[in-house]
Amino acid sequence: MEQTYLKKINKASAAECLCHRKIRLMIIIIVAVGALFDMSSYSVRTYASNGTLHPEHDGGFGIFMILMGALFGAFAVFGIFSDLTNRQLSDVQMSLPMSAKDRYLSKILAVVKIHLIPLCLACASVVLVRMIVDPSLVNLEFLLRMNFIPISAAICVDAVCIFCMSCCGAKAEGVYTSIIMGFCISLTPYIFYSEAVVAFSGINSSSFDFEHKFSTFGGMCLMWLAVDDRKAWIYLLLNAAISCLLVFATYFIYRKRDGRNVGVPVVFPIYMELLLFVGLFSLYTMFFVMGESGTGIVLGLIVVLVIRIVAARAKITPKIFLTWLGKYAICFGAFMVIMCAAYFTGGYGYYKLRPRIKSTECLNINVGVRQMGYSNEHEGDFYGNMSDVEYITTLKEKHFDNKFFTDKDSKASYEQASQNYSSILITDEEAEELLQWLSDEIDKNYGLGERNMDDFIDRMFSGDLERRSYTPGTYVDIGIDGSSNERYYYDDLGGYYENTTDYTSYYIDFKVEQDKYEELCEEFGSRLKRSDLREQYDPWETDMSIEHDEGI
Amino acid sequence: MIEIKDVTMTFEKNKGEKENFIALDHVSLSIPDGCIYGFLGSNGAGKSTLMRLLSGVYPVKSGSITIDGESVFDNAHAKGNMFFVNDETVQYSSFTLEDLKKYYSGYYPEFSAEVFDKLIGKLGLPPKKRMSQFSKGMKRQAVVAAALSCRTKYIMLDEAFDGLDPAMRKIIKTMIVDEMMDRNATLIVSSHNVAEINELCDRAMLLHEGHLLFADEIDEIKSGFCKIQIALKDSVITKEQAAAQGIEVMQCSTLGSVAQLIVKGNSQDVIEKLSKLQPVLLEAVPLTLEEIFIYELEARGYGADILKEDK
Repeated sequence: MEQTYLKKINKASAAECLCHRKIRLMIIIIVAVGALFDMSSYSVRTYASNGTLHPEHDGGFGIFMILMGALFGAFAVFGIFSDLTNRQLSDVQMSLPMSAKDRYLSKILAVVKIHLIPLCLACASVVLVRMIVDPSLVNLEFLLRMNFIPISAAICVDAVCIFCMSCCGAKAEGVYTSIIMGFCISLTPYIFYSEAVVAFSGINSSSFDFEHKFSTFGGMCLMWLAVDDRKAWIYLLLNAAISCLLVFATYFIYRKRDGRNVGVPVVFPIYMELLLFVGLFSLYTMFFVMGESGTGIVLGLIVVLVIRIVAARAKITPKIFLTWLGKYAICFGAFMVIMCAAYFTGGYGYYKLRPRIKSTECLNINVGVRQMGYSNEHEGDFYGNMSDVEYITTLKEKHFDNKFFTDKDSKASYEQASQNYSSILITDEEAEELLQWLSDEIDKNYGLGERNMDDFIDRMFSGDLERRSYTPGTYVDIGIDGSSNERYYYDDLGGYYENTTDYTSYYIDFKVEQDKYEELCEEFGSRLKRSDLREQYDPWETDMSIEHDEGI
Repeated sequence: MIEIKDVTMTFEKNKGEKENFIALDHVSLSIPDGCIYGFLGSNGAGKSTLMRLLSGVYPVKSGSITIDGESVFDNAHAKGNMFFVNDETVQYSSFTLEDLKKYYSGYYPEFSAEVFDKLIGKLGLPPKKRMSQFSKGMKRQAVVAAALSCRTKYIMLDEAFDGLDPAMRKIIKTMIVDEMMDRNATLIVSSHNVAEINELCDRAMLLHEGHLLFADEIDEIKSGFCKIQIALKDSVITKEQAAAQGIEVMQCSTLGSVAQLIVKGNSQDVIEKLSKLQPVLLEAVPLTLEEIFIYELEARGYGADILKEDK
């Protein structure tokens, strides 16, 4: 029985593929060309000092073409799901001996056959060819990671387009809402998080880890982050899983569709409101972050009115027009409420977030102590003056061991003075203790008590969400920038490396008033001196060969 | 057997419209197995809507439609017994006939490639040419051939013979009848061409503005209407006078002293009733289906405004 059912779905999907041969051919050509170019984009560099292998990706055109192939899934979906927007096709397909479930499954299978299989084969061929050229496990992991990016992006593109097409009864709406929705859900969470939430927290603790989480939906955002970060696997898989979940959820929308909805621009009114809210939220976030709040509000209104007019397809009465304006005002109000909540909760509690050390062995920590001046007159730009630079340098020399600074003669410029870092090797416990102390200092010196509505409105419309100047006078940032140690193994195939911990990189800014600064530096310096610090080392210069005790 | 019971189909109003549009209003109908059923109706009467309900394109929200006891909407099994050909063929433009064959054989397990090839051969259609290069009539022929090849128990053809020349109409009709007779299948055809329905179908129904006006065997329908020519001795009969004899008069016109009445009812009964007026001329002329169609709709004011303006 099951076999018969699968056969039926497979046959129906084959019939769908028959209708969309041209788009399949286009996708095959694009990804095949992309794969051929991409094969030559990979290389493995061997470090002479210790013989370790480091895979790299240098090419642009190949991966660009493959990503274009991922985007072309939109055309496949628009074609395969056109029974939802075309009366004639709807008559044919809905009268075929299939239930909505059968139809949906067969269409999904058709998308897989037309779009995902050619893309996967292209990516697999890149992996295979590169593995023949450079056979090593480290290369395999890198190739798989890199080639899963377009697959993840393709699933995401397909899922968003299927969702949007299922909510629309006219092709035009299906297409442009897919573009808007795809753009918004890929970028907005990341921009909102990295710009608005962090800015309102007053604490700057940036980490790839956090960025990944918020750029999860929209695989291509991960492209540039995934190149060097093994953790990208998690987010790529998560992205694909969320996309699959969306496809599953869309089935419940699809099965509500019938021939009556064909031709209706937007079948479910709530979808239109959701789309406009998501679109406006993205637009506001971008323009408010850029400091162009007025432009954002006006542009948002124009975009909304244009979309409403296009989608209305009916007589527009003054009452309808006023309803649109009212809904626009509600969207703007909702955005302000969300931002207001972010402001009064310190970026939804982000200000209480502290980095954690997950290492079981040792950690490579860079310590920087920085001071920055700030003035509103410079429209949010940071600047430092020489007296600040001299002051901080004096403090550093007084309280910190010279070995913490890689560039000791840095009085010449602000740039150098503000970025004195050095690698030290300390244990987990030492690092934990240091972080705990810093954390306590942040708690002691920083709270949300001074926040008020006037300040919020001023920040929103002055073009400076971060608005550091509300702390009177010059303030100080103290930063810890950490990354995990790397261990190197060798096997029969060659060398590969493995992190002993998850990659962690973080930087904490917190503000203390000028008179507290010296006190902090003194304490910080003495804590570092107390630590049982080992010699600095450079992994590329030191032979860190360790017995191969476990495989990957 | 197809059972349509008290079906009402309403399309929700769009923004700016005042009321919902009622496409079908309490329509009840039985379509027995093995017949050729004609759907007649004015433009926008609801014929295509009824076909879409029958083929599961639209859900039945009020009333019920069953095919061999099963509801159709979202029921793959019930839909497996029927094939719906809508009034357009643009959806097949990118196909060759080979593709069309492959397409439908993927959905209908009973699809007979042999029948398809035979019919295509009979019609002289080129199997390797894209259908976008076909004329409207050729596309229609191809789709009808596909419909017959799927070997379903029920076939529904919306505006089936649209675009076909008279010779080809005859060939297609013969082809359909032969195929249907062989399998004792049921054919439902909608057309504006009443003469065609008259010629092809053994049953028919008439829809107007969503209301079912009549549905029966064509002979029964015809026998239910007649044209009476009557002349009285010293006056011209009026509609009221005829109605007073218990006759349902749909239309009354006079030419000199001779009146022509279009009446509902058996001609023998009508003549019997009118004989009481002792006419000097009284004769009944049978109506064609086309005349019944026109008089029924005219009686309901269809096209009356336009005709008045013309006059």
